[in-house]
Amino acid sequence: MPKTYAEINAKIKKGKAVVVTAEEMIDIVEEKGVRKAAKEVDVVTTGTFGPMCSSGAFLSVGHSNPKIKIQKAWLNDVAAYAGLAAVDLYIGAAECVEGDPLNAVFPGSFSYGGAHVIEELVAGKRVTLRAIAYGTDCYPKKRVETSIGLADMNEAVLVNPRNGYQNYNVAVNAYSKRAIYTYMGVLRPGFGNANYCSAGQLSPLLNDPLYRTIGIGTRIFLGGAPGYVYWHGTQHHPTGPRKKNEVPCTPAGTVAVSGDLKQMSTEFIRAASFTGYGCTLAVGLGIPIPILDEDMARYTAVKDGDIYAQIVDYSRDYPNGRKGSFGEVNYAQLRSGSIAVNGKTVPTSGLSSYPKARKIAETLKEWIGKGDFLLTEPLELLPSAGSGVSCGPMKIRKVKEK
Amino acid sequence: MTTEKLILHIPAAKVNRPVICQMSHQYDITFNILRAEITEDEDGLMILEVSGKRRQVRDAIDYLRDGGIGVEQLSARTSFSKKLCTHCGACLAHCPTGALAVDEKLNVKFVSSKCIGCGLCVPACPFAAIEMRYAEVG
Repeated sequence: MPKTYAEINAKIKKGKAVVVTAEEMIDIVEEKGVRKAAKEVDVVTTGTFGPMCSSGAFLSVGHSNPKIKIQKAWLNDVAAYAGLAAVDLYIGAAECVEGDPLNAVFPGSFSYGGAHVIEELVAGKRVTLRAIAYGTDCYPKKRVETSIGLADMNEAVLVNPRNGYQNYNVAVNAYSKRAIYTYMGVLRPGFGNANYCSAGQLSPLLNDPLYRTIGIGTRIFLGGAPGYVYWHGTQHHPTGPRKKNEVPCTPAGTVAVSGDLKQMSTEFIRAASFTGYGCTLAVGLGIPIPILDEDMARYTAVKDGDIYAQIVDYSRDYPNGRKGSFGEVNYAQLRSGSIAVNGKTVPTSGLSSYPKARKIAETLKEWIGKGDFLLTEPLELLPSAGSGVSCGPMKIRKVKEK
Repeated sequence: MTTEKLILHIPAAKVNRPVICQMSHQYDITFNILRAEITEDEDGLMILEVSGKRRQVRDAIDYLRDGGIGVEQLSARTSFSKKLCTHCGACLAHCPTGALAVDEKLNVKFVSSKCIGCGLCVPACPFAAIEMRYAEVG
């Protein structure tokens, strides 16, 4: 006897919906079975907090007087993209501050970039906006400099084309003789450590492995405020290998999300600097999953021990696009502190904060419990396993000189 | 018995003298060198774990100081910011002594008494939550 979104929302409005976190759902299904759990539970909340490249914000900074058509702009000396309109900017999380030595002195520390600008804005601080322009009849000003905060802006919208990766690699350094510095952190030589990045059993897309309830228009928790899924994320790859429980065992689905930056909090929006790699933004993301039927109850009861990831070398295989795995491990093993790779005990490190993921799932549960956060039925679901959608490499073609 | 981890700043003029050995003999101190290097201005920087009777460890530290060697406690120089830490755990696999570890709720904890100041956690932390001030000296 399936439930509908309308029925669940009616219960939420009355304060009678049964909302549990993905962690709690594991015990409920274990105790009561899938059938009973599907009947009793209405919504399962999920959460994840990890470094999420492909994050940034659209900032509409308002017009100066006289007006300006900004050609190039910097926020605290971090370049923002201005090729949109007159005073709309996009600040990308991974953009480095001007004059950063980058990796010239290896490994660079990448201590300031777009992510840091976004975090400072969310913290309520003002940043220095510098902009130049070529001047037009309608927008004559050629230069502007001011100190600006979120409150001064007309709109400030976090727009992340790819977040919430459904599963990811476990990164190791198999071949290099020195420590390597990657977006998966510092990897010491000779399988010195193994780094992973997923909230596992709490992670949104791992709790709805075939995206039966997540799609365009899904209302979510984003950075501490309500937000929305607006598309499938870039590199969305629903057609890779899956286990019997439908959970992918390689990097798979992603979501594109957006929300009002002005309402967000630095508890869930944090700049991150990866030594030798660059900066990025750690984003808190939570998705509520309606328990429409028994399948959804089964999916949301997924445990760390049932989610597998591939151990991938980041010194040679990954950079050169070579396929290959040193085996697969599950997230219960990863979270235990060490795994066995090539007969060696290798200590593990996470990059995604499990305590923050739990906090997000609990906060979302609270919002829904209070009756002020309703679920939305997606206008269109994300492309799923049978869609034929896949993420492929760049094609390199010879370019003729003209 | 007491064990302490010390940072010693040994002036260039004293680098060649067997001060540590003498300290060990005189005050019955067991020591373990955790790190030793000559810094750019040719001063010596050493991180030393010393064990002995509480009184004698104190006297040994006085002996070093009287000999013109700067002595600091190591834990005082490793700063772990609870405010900046997001509990991701990126540091965990890099800490050789378990000074950075997680509790049962997977929150990251820093146990300063276990820290040997190797500094491996510093570049591993994406949120700049750990600082080693002595690293600037060397």
